[in-house]
Amino acid sequence: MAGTIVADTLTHSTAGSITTNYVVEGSVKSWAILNGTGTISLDDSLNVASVADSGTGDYDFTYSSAFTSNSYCTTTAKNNDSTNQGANLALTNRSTTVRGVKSYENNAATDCSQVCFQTTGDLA
Amino acid sequence: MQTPDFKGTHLFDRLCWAKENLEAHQSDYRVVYEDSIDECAKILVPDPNWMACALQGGILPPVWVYHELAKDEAQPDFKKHTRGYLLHETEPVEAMTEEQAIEYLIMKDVPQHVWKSWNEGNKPKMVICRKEQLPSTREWRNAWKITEELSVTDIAA
Repeated sequence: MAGTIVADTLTHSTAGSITTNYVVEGSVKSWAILNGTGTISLDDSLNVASVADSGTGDYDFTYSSAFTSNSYCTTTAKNNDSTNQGANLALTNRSTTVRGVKSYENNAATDCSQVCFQTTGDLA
Repeated sequence: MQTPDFKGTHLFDRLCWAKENLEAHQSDYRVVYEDSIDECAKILVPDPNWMACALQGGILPPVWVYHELAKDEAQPDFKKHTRGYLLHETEPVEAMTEEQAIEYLIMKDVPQHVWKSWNEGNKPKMVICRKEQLPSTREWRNAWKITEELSVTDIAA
């Protein structure tokens, strides 16, 4: 592809060097922002093919470019739509999908106006 | 815009190109399906950036590639994919219509036991509809089912 730079190491004039593995292996490989209210919709994303609305505050995201294994890290977040703030969690990682991204408020699954996730790991 | 010759390019790099160069397409189509009789109906929503790739052509791999990876992952001793190259080295699919893209997405992301036998039984297990045909509120969301008044022959017609 045009515009390719081949380098194993990046060196700063004073701060030192890192290998480019930090970038290749450490950068986010998939993310999405969805509106969980009404008929849910994806606002923006990278490397996501679809989302399944599996119930109140319960979503399954499917990737376009699969991960190499089921061992990768998913981080989720949500907008706080009520004063009693809740939490998010992701239950099951598969190489092609992350299932059970859940949003909670007031100790109950809740559809929130903004639910996000991002994933780091190695792609297949 | 012309799609570069992407055969052999990592799929992630293609998706990054698409995000930078293609306009996202919000589809009005939704796929309602029942994965388990004990659970509420699920609603599949296409990703706008993925849909742009499908409509553009030359970016996404054929759907059978995902089925091959799923077979590998279903093996009891699965640790890592060893055939990930199928995603990147297989000839990408041509441009699809929105309807063809939804069919592709069903075969990719809906469980096979649903889409392969969607019309077997007293009522369909899967329905493609428009966004506005779904309830506009989330009331009783965890009890949503495909209506029993809908018959397979209604849909086939």
